[in-house]
Amino acid sequence: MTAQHHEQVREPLVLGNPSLRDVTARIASIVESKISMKYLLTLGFTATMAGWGLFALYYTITTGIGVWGLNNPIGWGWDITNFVFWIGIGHAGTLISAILFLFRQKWRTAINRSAEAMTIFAVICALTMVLSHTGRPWLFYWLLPYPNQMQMWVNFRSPLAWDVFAVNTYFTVSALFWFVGLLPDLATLRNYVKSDLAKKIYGFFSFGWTGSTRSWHHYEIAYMILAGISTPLVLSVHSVVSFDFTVGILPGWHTTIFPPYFVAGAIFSGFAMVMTLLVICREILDLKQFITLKHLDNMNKIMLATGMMVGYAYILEFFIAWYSGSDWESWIFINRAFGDYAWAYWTMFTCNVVSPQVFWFASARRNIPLMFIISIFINIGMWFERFTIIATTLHHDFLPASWGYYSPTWVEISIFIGTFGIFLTLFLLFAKFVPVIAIAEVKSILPGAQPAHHHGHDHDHDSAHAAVPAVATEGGH
Amino acid sequence: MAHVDLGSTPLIASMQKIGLALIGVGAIGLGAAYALHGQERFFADYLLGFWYFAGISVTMVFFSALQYLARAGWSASIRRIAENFTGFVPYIGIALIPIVINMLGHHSIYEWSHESAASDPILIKKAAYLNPTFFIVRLGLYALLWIGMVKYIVGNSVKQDTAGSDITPTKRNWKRSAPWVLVFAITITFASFDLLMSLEPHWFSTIWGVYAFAGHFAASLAIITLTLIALYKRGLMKQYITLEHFHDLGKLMFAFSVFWTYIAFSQYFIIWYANLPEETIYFDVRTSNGWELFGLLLVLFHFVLPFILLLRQDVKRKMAVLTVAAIVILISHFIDLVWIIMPAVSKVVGGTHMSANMMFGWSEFTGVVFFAGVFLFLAAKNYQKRSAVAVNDPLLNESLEYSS
Repeated sequence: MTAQHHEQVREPLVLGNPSLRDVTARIASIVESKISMKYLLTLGFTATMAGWGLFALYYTITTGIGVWGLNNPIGWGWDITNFVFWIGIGHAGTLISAILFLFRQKWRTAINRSAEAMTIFAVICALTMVLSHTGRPWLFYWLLPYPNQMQMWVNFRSPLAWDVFAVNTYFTVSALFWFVGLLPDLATLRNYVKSDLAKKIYGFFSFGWTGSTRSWHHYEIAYMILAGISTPLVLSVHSVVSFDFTVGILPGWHTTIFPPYFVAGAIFSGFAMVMTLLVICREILDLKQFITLKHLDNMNKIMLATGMMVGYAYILEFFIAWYSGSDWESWIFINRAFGDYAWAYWTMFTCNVVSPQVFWFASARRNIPLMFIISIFINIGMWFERFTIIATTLHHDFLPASWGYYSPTWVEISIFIGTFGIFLTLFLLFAKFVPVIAIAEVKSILPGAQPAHHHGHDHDHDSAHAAVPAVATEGGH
Repeated sequence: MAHVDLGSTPLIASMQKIGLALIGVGAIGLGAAYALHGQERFFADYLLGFWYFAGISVTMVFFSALQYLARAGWSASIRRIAENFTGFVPYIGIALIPIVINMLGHHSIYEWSHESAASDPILIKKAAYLNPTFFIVRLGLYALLWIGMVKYIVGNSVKQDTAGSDITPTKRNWKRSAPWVLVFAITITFASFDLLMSLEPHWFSTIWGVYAFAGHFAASLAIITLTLIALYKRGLMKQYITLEHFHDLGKLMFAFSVFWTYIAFSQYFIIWYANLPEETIYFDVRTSNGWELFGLLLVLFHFVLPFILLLRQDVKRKMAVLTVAAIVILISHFIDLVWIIMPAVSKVVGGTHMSANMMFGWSEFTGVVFFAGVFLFLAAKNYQKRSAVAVNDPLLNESLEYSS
């Protein structure tokens, strides 16, 4: 009786009942297929964007950040907005790869690889922004605490120094996590590709993976530990970014809900970016078998949930600004919604709080054009959230004499476009040369791969191990 | 599948007896507190006990709603444990009456309801929110919404028991759990503003609602774990409980004691660093006159001990460790609420705006004992009324077969 129910409530996560070999063949064929003209044109376009951005960066570095629209009182503009935006994008990948892994959410297997890749590329963009904002990026090592003859140390009490530690840790751990997860799949590719050169390259990067039980055993332990280490990072990185604002005393920045609110917003924006790119990928690479409507539905639910959390924070900030009885606090929020930057505030509010509300409806959660549009709205909205926070608090200083308005110059806009170029170029390269879907992990969720379904609980908590031999034969020989 | 009737087992019978005994002892204790310590302290103790268990019982409904929202399979066979602990929710409105009476009186623990508030320049600004009428309306609204949530979520869960293979009640919960979770988020936030944060009406913190939720959720998980262990040890529900359930509850207890720490640290750290007097007053008061001991104990009990106890993989499958960790978490929730409520009331009673005298003794246990009794007694009643396992839950098999 309940077995029947089970069929009704759990949709399959892989469609079409592929065999283990089919899965390998399907994903590896993307790597093996000839590079199309369309791909090259797209890559050329995104590389041009990146090049244009790099030129603007070059211009900035050689001339000085005076070429940006920053002024007194607005010392942070698009640079920090973009930095926070890109750091946030990365969080979906970490959530999917680490937290959903710890929660044993099997649906993560179809999307974790590409989401993790986005994490790494987004952090690269964020680092570009934050380094160029320092003004003299060639002195980047001054940001690191190291013994030196000048006896100069970073200010450990500054949230900007914590940022350096947080973001670098984030990048390192994310890259390691991604790469460890890739090992068995790179070995599969090594065995699959025909050209000798490709075999050598994939062979090199798979570190001589044999697919033995021992390898798998070590792999699983390493993967688990990295998931454990990455989990606090999901929360800590954006919390530290939020400290850049909160530990100061500026109204609109200094409020206690910022850390969890930033984390929720980061996951929200990250999922939106993953959605935007995956909807396209799934179409072009024909991955509908693996990235099913069920996956998209789940992601839309997460977007609705995190969007509501962000909305909760927006409204609470307003309420507490009034409740605090502080004139500064109340005024800054009224100004945020009705002042010079009201257009930015309401763009943010509409995109982030109003637009995801359509996902209350199951039909909307499975409507691909709609979710694509909403995901772009959310990308826009989350960018404006950071811009609103930064600009509205800074543009009206405590003294009316130091009130101002900020608009970016072509240089800042070009750099922002450039970061998109870098992000998309890296993603396109990834989608072509690296297995976009975690082959070994998808195999472990195919029907029949889960021994626990066939006999009762045997208290062997390593169910994934049991799936390993089947996968190993494919990946190893 | 056949219902699992535990209503007449010795465990539930003793749960009921212990509940009654605690109600008796707690009532006498509260009476003594009123007679010996005056009404402010009595009401503070009452609020402490009330919010400890009211918050937990409402969070238990949230736990159930969350399982439906996430279509969780793992918890299907143990979800009823949380649902049975919601017995107190329908009586929250009644239990709030003394607090309302106190607020209308002259010696209210809520300073903003005093006549002197009219001459306080900050409180005048907040009067549109912090006034007795609106306060009572809000409390009534929370109580009603929480009853609605229990009736809907737990109601449908119980209906499924008798619905056989027709899973309409479960489907209803799948569909409607999301709006109920939203209601929970809003009500628990504002209830914690009203009942706790407004004890110091000048002070404010936007994270307060998340802080309150985190503490209640960790404590709820601890109570679910302890109950599961008690049932398992006595061989009750044995075919419905696997070690995987313990492992997962262990993980969740670990995760949410760390989550509480994260929230508590964020609040403390941001306020400490910015050092604005209107905000630091909260921690100033709580780190002098002996209150700092509670703050340190909180770090130990809400973070250090659960973290060390539950970090390893294997210990999450050991009943003894889980028991100790769950008890530690329950103690820490008590310390947390004492640290929040008692200094605030102490300021009103004898202190100044800048400091609170130590106010902790036997009477602080009376309210908690009383409401623990109410909580257990009403939970035991639920075991007598319904199956202890959601036997027709469509995901029940998954819950019995999964490995974590």
